Amino acid sequence: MGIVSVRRVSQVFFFAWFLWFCLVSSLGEQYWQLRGWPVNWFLQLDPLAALASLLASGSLYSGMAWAVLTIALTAVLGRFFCSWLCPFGAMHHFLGWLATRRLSARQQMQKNQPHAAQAIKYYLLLGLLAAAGAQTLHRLAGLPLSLGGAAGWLSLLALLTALAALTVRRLWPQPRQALAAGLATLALLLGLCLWTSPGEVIGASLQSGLLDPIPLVQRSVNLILLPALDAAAGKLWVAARHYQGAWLIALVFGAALLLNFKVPRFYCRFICPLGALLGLVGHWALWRVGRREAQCKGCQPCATRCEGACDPFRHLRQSECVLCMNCLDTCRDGQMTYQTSRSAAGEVPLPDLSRRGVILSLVSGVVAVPALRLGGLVGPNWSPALIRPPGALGEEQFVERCLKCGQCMRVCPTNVLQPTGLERGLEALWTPSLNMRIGTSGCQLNCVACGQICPTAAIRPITLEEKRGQGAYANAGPLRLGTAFVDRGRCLPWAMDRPCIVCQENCPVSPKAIVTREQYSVLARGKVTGRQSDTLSLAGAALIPGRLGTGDYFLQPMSGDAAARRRIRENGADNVNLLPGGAWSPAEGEAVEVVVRLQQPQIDPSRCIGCGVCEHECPVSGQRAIRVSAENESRSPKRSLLL
Amino acid sequence: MSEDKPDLIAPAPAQPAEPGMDRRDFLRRALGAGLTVAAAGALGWGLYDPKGPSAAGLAQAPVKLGDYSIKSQAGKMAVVRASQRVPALQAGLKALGGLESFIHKGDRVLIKVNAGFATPPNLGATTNPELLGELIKQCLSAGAQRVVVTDNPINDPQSCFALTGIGQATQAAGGVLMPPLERHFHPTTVEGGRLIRDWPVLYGPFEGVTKVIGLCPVKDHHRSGASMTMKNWYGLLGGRRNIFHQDIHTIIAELAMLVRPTLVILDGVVSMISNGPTGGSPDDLKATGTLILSTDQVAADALGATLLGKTPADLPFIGNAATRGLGSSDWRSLNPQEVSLLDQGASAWA
Amino acid sequence: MPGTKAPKSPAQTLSGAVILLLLVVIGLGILYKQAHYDPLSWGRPTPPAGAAAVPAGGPLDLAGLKVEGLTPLGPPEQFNPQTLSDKIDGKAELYLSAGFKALVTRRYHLPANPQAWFETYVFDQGQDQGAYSVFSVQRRNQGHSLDLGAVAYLNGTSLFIMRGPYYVEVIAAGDSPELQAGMQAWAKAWLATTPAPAKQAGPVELELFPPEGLDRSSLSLLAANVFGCDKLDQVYAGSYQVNGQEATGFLSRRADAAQAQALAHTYVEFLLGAGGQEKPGQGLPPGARMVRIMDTYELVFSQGAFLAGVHGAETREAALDLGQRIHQRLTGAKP
Repeated sequence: MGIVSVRRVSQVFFFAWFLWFCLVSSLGEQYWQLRGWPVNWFLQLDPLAALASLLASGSLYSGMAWAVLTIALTAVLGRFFCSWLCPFGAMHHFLGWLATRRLSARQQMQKNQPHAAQAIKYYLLLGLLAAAGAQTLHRLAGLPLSLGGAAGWLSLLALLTALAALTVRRLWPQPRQALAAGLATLALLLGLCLWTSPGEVIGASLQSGLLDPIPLVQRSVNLILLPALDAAAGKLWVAARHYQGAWLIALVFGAALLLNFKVPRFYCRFICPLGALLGLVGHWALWRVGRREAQCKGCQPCATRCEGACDPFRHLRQSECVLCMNCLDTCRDGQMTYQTSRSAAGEVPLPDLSRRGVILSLVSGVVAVPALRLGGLVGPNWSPALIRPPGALGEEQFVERCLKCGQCMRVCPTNVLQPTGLERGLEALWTPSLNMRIGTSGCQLNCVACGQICPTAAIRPITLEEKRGQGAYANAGPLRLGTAFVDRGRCLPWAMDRPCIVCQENCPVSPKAIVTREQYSVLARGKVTGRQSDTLSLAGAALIPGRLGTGDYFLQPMSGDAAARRRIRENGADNVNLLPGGAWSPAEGEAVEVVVRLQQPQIDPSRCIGCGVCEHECPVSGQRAIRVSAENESRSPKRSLLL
Repeated sequence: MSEDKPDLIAPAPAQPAEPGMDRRDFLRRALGAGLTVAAAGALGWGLYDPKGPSAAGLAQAPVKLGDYSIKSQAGKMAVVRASQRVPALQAGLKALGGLESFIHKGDRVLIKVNAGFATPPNLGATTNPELLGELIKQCLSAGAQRVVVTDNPINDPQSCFALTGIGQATQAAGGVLMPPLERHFHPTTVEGGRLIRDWPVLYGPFEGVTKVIGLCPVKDHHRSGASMTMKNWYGLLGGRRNIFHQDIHTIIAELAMLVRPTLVILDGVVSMISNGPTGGSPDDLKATGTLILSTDQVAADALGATLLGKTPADLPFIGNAATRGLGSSDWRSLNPQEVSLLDQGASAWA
Repeated sequence: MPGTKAPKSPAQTLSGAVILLLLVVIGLGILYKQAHYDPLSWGRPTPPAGAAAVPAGGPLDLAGLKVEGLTPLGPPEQFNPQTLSDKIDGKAELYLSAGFKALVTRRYHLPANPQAWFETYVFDQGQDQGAYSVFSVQRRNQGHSLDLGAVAYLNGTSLFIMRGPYYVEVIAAGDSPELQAGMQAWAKAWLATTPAPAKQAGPVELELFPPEGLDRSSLSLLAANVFGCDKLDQVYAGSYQVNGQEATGFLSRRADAAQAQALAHTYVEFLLGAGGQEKPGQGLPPGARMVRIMDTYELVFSQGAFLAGVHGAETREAALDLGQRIHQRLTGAKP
């Protein structure tokens, strides 16, 4: 079996596992449910997700350590990830093949020529890493002194220096000039750190997930593909899944896929920041694709199926080569090989990056975060409509970690967890928040699935005990997502004298966080004109027949004497039938009132956990009469409502 | 494409000149790859976090304000009857044995003023700038290395410090004005307290400080009855502190637990006797001709209450603080040094 | 360009084989991983609607139970021994110690009035004895029994049923006649799904209690931590009037005579450790020990596989009298 066939097997193998993991991310213990499937594995193998979240948050959470393996293999082998493992890459590979399979060899070669725009992905990478890592400089100024921490930071420094040296060497060919530029930049930054307090201005924001292929494809499959397919099949979910603003996710996903018809692997070549990172990491790769001899027949079929557009025929672009191995297969005289020495025809390590572009993208990344926060959405102008899932970190730490991968929204059993739209700012785009109107219920009292699945602990892996404030967490109390507020202008018993107690009944907290205040309201007044046992004829009260038979309606004397009040069994337009019993017996000619007993809901903010079940169940189905907003959420002590 | 446009950067040599060069290149690459692997491994090892952040770990480490009181000076008090603030301060300090008995050479002093509102000094809603200027000068001449003036006002800090004259007075006297910045706030917890738990306080200006003086006017306060030296510390609280108004008397007592000052100076030369704490009209003020200096903030407030025509019993926070052992509500028991600068018969106070 | 490709080198074939092998290993690794997990870490998985894990049509299948004239208020909820306390909090211990297996609850309301609702709790206690235990311990005095063909009684707003291993509580939000009729309709419908056990009267142990002076309604099975002694479990107890004085007779069948004897000893030691004083004397049943503790008398003995005795007797005479009678019953009905 040739190496290309093996590659195809590998692509299908990993792609199938990827789809399977998306498919099984439903709570449950059947083999087709979550069980112990490593559903985050692809995200964890993604070194961009790991590096960016590490830069932003300062730690490498649990399974994200898998990325070290990817880095190590890439450093030795080159960008194997793109053509052998990446599920998004496999999609592009297939579509690119589909788009070009009928073209002539010449046309195929043209499609696979290197293009200057391949540099764009490096700029994107640098910008995204700068946005995530700017605060790291601030942290480095006050090095944490624990042994592990220090070692980690020093090696981070080493890695960054190595990457910087690499970049700088390309950009400033003269070593002395490069050194001077590097030192000057470092001094400037350190000086800025010491002199001012950049922590107040510079923030860390993990935005790599917008373009990082693994979160992108994970999010797209989770939130677009599966719900769309299942809407027809109805196998995965009882009720159709909805995700707000999914059109934008679909647009990005669809555009990325369709662009293969313009240029094969368009996304991989021009946009993918992960590819750029792997290209840099694979700079020193010990094995690499290349030509055995400087001279060859020049027939160029090696370029017909070149996935990376790395020009194996001329000077191989090492950072662009995705190890598809097609050139080994298509070369007619065995010139192309995967070997330890550089291509005999010569190599170009990186696409042509401009000094100005690099600086611009780094600066843009650093400046982007404070610029995005100018609106104060992370600060004083925080959105009360942004209800984060239980265990979510405080907003600033949250955006340092959230990959926007959609795993939490996929696993959420009620579909209440939703991708946040653009209205909360670009930083919050596609991060999880609760929308109580979508889904089958609010946040379930006995579920901590989102925190357990979150690959970066943006939602902490809380236990049920912590969520419910039991055991060791009894003092802290249950985790609150926000507080429900009754909109008295919309609530049936408050605004319209209609009995309703749905929210109180559905409140899952014990003791209930919704209490009701009993109130009797006069609906109609009239005079008793006739009487037959317990049926009274009334004059002056126009009643809707049958309306008063629910047990909430009473008749009472005009004096409003509560003790005399009698429950109405049923009614006609001008008569009521009373339930037997009671001290008062209305006499003919007596003026009486029809009253309704209302149980008006009120929130006890010390008990409300903001789960949103009440909002979900509220019969005022448009804008609900009881709504949760983020005040009093546990994750932000500054937003507390009570002493 | 590159057919038309030559590479801007020269490619690596097309053909190794000699076999040895190829080997050297390989070794160099092996070193680079090895370093990358090592760096990634070290990074992973060093910053590996198997559990994720915990609820406890997320909370910022709390800070604690120090105890700035001087044990040997406990329970000291001077009461000056005067119509002018500056001479009153001088006389009062002298009666306490001079500021030198509180401030020593090299001390870094923090003066907590009341700059709560952006109102002019003549409305008496804020610390009087002349008095402040004199105190700063006295501190500096007592040997203080640095005198910091701070408050976290209710209105916009910049306009507060400017319009109250406090900013200018501080600078003129050689003090350092520290307006509250976001980074100055750190959570603190008052031991034995119920309200100030994990709550942000204006900690930044306290860093490195060795002595703390509270300087504020006597004011009527709609919610608490009176705003005096203990209530003055309210300006150290950050966050959405107005929720404490739900339990004002407890919070004031807890504030007295939070701050153990070296000295408090309560300006009742003119008091705001109505419509406090903002006032708004000179009609709200009354010449009460008294300046109180004390190391016991409870006693100072107890005496201050009388200037507003109240007794300490009218102000629950005084009792609250006294029961907590923070001072004495019976100011006379401290045997205060009483000084009068008023002409006989021209007494402004009864 | 078929036919023009260079032949595959052995190195290529070898690498291909190694990679394929690696894929197999990865696949096996994933399969291994998926089998090792802790379902509790995600909380209690919400069972997918409609996919009831309980046998359809059985006593626990409240989803399948259709009752005329009642409207269900939401789907049934299910609890297991781990989650029982989510529903009934601290009371869970009582059920767990009596062999609790499962609880299914569901709310219903009268179609005309959503305010008139009740909730039904069906406890599966595993064995008849377990159901009897939770039923008897919680028996309310004021109830009047219902003629439903099972042990059932109504007490104000609540209805209680015991049948076989099942114990049922129906707790209503009011006590209107309509609501009570609805509760009884539900009870009839439920009983129709639940086969009556061979013997309805209760465990044989109950027949061993001497009938004179016994308050039959007080008979109960105490499952654990009996009389405050954590070693004492599965004890039947009944209240007696002995010559106008209160005393509780108890007995418990153990695995064999030796265990019964050991437990009797343990219980006496427990009483002595709790401040009791041993009061030997005349007229004790063979092997019995008398302990005076907090102004009451405890008599403890074993007879064959039975541990038995008198608890909380007001006088020594009452304890002796009742103890002698229990002993006689046990020797007469020696298993």
